[in-house]
Amino acid sequence: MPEAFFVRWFARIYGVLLYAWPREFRLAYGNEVRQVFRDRCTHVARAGDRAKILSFAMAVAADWATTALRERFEPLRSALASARKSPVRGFVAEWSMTILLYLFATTTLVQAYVIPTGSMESNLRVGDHMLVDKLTYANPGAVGAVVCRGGVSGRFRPDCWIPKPHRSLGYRRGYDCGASCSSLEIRILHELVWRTKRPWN
Amino acid sequence: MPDREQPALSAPVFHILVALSDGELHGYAIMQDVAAQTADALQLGPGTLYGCLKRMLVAGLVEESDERPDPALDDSRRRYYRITATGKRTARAEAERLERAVMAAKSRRLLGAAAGGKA
Repeated sequence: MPEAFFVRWFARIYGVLLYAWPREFRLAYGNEVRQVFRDRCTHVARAGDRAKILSFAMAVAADWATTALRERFEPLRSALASARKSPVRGFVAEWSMTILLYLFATTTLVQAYVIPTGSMESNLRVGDHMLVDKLTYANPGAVGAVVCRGGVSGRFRPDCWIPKPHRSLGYRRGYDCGASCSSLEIRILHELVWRTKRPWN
Repeated sequence: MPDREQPALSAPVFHILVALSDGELHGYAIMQDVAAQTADALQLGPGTLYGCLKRMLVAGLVEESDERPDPALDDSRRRYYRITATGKRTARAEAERLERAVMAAKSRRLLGAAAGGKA
């Protein structure tokens, strides 16, 4: 009696779980999958071994999840496989992936710059190369941080940077620029220079 | 040439082909046969089984059977599968590849009396 109860409930739960699988696959094989599941369930339940039932449940859960993933990504995988067979499509696919990865990396991880002007002479010279680490010092509201020679770090926005307040006056006004060294925060906002939330005279 | 292009079969696909090489079987019978072949090491889940069968049908390795091999044990909900000529060829090629691999392992004493394990 508990055996039939176990099988019935397990099969019911499994039937609901099958909705995670793609519709076509479920319609084509759902009935058979449920049938096989019931057969297997009955077999395991008849043995009546708790450990076996548990390991069966775990195996079924893993099988269910991997099938859901595999069947969902099947179209993508077969598209990639067919792209690999055709050289032109393969070329396009490879370059698209490369460009996507590059864009992801330069917008979120790291970006290379060459210093164009002498506006940051005391820290950076014209022609200095630098890698902007966009992750380490990132905090909400900041795009990233500059780690430059001498260990001065400032918050960084790609179109303007101001490591030194006195040099930055008048530099690219109108942008919302930010730089902070320890607790001091310098910001140009609406053509006014602000120092830690107070106007700078 | 086709053998060269054919990548190594995945374990479930190979064992399903071996199970069907004896005759037509339905899903649960395939599952039991695969478990018996591998001494319960490979216990196919329903999703894996039918995912493989779906791909094998597309690849022409197996086909659905219309006949009911055993009317007494028949269940209309069950579908029976049978191996195709391509499937047989593929399974044989894979078995030969495995045999060569086993021979290589034996010649290097990874396998056999010295190793003491069972394959």
